[in-house]
Amino acid sequence: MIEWESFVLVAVVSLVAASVVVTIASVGIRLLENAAHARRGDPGRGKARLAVARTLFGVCGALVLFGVYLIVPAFH
Amino acid sequence: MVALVVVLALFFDFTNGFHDTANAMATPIATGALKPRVAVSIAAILNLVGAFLSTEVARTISGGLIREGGGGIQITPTMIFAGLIGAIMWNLATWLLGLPSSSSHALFGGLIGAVIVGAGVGAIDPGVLLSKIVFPAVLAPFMAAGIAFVATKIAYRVTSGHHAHAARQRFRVGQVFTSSLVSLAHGTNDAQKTMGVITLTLIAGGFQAAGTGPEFWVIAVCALAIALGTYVGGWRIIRTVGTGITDVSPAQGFAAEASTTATILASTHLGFALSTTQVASGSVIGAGLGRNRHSVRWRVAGRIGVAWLVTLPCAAIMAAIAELVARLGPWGIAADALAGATVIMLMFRRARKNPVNHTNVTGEVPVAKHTPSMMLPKVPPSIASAKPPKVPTADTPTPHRDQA
Repeated sequence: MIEWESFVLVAVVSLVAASVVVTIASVGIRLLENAAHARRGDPGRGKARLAVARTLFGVCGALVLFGVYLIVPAFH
Repeated sequence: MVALVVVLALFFDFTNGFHDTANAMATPIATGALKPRVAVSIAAILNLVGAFLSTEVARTISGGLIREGGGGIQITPTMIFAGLIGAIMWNLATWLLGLPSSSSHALFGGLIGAVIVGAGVGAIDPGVLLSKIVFPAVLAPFMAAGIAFVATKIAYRVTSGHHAHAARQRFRVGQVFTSSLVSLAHGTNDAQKTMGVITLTLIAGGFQAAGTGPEFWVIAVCALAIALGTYVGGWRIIRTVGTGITDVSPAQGFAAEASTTATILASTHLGFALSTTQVASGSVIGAGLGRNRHSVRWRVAGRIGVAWLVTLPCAAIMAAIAELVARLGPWGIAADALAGATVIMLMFRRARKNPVNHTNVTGEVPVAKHTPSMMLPKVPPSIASAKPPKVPTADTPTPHRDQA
């Protein structure tokens, strides 16, 4: 009666997706904050961190767009 | 009769919108990621857009819960009318109490109650009731809470360190995106239900050919009704979800919304439908547990849980009574409409005595803060009559809640 298979599938996919998004965003935020503080001492290192952080936020943006793609049926 | 059902359906759509604003916008409002007015405007626009985007209008009114159509029973406009009355009453009652209950469950409950009276218990499919409503309702909050718990742990672990507090404020930017996705998903789902109800009523009334999709005006008015409801904002429910369950920090808010978004998208695409309301509330509880398990106010969470359990039966009972009266004929329907309108007016009047709006939605109102009665209608007259002072919470930054 209850579709355990699809429930477990939904649970696992949601867990992985949420964890991935939060991890990427958190790492990006940490790097961004570190970059802001590192710039005074070691500008090169700060720049590198900033670049990585921006890339990670770009990935987050792509994930948001993927979310929009999933939501809008016309795209399927 | 058909016109009456259409009007009621639109009103239900409106209550659906303002009941569910909290799902997406309670946490960004609570953390100050979005100002309350801005948040409900974004939610309203995305609901409006979402309603036009989706083409998957419900083909059956009840989604298979009621054995309707060929071989089953014929759902009459009167039953839909009574069902809608039950659903609206319950939605408004839970709003008055500030409880986030599922609007879909209220709608299904109302229809079930009306159909049982109108066509007998045999018209209900108990298997579908269990697998589509009861089990998901039990599982959804636990699942969402578990996911949000993990997500919050990750967010805190990764950003721990010297500049943790400043870093975690940056999650506010992310909250804007995650909550917007929840709003858009809501618009594509929930407005469709009302469109389905109206379209099937029009078909039943002979105003539209069977098997055709919704007319453009139906789509347009449904979209407008849900957007308007969202914009008006169920501030009471936003306050419960945003600050009543636990004090949400930006990192928690982001983790909770990311979990809600992921769970809703996964559930709609992998075929295990879950209630947005239950997922969103479960996520907030999980996010609270993820930071500090003592920060969750279990009293509030318990009340929400009780509301979920009784939503369907309560809406069903009210609809059943409405259907009983409606079966007396035109006078019965008139009596229903009159009684419904009176109760709705009384509830709005009751709400005005203890207003919750964009000025005090973050719960930093000295009078109501931490009193468990803040979400009860039976507030002592001394508190109810004393207008809460206007605190410009919207413009002041949220107090630091990250240190725990």
